[in-house]
Amino acid sequence: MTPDRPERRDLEVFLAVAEHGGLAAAGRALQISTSSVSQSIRRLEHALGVELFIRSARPFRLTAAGRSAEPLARRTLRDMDLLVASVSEAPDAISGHLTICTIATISAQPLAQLVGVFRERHPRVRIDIIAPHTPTIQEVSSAVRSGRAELGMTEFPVEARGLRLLELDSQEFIAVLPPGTGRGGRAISPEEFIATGIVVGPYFETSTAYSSLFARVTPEVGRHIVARTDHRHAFIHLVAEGIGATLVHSEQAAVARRLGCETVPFTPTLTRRTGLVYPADDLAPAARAFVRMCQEQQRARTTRL
Amino acid sequence: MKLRHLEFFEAVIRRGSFSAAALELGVSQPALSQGVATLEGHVGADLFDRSRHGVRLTAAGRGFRQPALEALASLREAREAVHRVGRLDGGSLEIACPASLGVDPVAGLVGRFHRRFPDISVRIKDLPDRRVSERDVFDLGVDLAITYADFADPEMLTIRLNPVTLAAVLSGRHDPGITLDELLLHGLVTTSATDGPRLLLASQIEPSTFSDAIVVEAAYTQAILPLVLSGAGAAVVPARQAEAVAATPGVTVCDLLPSAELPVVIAVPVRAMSAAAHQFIAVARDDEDDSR
Repeated sequence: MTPDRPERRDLEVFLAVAEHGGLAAAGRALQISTSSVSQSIRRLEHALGVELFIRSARPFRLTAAGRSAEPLARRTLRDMDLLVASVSEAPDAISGHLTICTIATISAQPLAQLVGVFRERHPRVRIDIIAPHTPTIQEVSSAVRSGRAELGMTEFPVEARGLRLLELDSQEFIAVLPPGTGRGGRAISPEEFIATGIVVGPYFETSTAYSSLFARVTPEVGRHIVARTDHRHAFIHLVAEGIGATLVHSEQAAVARRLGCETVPFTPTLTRRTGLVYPADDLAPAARAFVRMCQEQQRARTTRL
Repeated sequence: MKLRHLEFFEAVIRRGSFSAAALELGVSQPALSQGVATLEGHVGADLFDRSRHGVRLTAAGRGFRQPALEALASLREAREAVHRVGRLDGGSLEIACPASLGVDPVAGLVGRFHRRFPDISVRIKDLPDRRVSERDVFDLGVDLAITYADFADPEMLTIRLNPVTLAAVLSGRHDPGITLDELLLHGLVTTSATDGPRLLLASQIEPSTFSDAIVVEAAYTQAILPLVLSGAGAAVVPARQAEAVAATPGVTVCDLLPSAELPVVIAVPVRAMSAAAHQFIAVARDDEDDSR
């Protein structure tokens, strides 16, 4: 029995097995059965005449042939998207997947807002927001370089050798204080803020806010941490419970006010620079449209100023 | 009824045999059998079926199990109470919970705990949405876990909390109630982790329909509501989180039709309940009483 010729889908399955390290895990991710995953891989291996995975390893490892096939498979999929786009130039014809790698705080702002605008223009593109292998901004660049993500959104400045950069608006940090603090909107100094007792995330000590503001004013920031949580979406809710203060960006600050919290700026002002990192060579249509949209927004802003 | 005999009972359940339990507790097997027999005398029924294939709980034993484990935990607490006085000053409380429970009930309970014990710092760690055992709790180094009732290993002592209700958040206008089919038309914004809300949705929808309806999938719970507010699609989140954004212009919060509730528990290791866990449970129990 000769297996069928490999199809586009088989390449997607191959990349999923490489990413998830097993047939069953890839099946779960793609929501297809393990046996269809295994068929795809067999079809591909038969057509190429090589084994792509070391199946005795757990998780599966790529063979040398598999390793050289992986970037080519990504490239082929992207070229197919480019081909489709070249014959259908209307913006709403753009479809497919767009994978963006970012860190947690940027996913909520400004990435979420950009995704909202993008989805309005290109409703047929599905977007995946993924985390880097380790939660650092360097790893966001690595994810783009390796092709795991087509775009990265990260803090600036960032090391991005071989990639293009597009800086976007910076975001101001805003202090969120428990209900009834009675500050009347007056800006707060880092010393006063810390003294309130603070609610922080797991990597607070490696954050921009920590190194540029808090660590300078007191070496004993740690003593004032009243709660540390892995769940950043719960920060403002913990503050609303009166546990301590926290710092967020404008979108979260608006929600915090609705929960009854007080929000005030820092003095001196504390901001974070963010932007896109993307490959210097051809982008798939959805990624290209996303970059173009960000460029337009930046141009519009510069004109306004 | 002696504390020691309850400990025998608990060890036999956990180890699955009299000999293994005796070995663990450092007593002879006849002494252990005698202790269990005394306990059975007090209860007035056999607690274990003893056969050549091992021991199994009888129906009476199964009924006795949870109250006995709770009593055992309380008795141990009482025994240690003297040593514990003052230990909660300036210590810490560590909790593990799935992201979807981080706001309701965890933020509320932590708030109450903080008002009672303002000097205790709190650490909240992420707990994957899957079965959690005593071992997981020890490995994470936390005092207790708060999770969906289905995920709590039956070996652990569980305290039931109010269930979490799920709600839909979408941009644009909608009736106060929404069916899943209507919701899917808006396009789903979801976390990539299979968390409680996502598992519940996925259990009610054909897998391919579910994956086709996803418009944005994010690795971060933190991104879900901002994505919905920016018009990217609709999401299902715990109702408390939804309420916080209900007043945002252009956003509608809807009840799910039919309504979806997920039972939630505090799960603690029976044998090693910390002082902080003990106090946290007391606070949680007051909380539940207030809400009745």
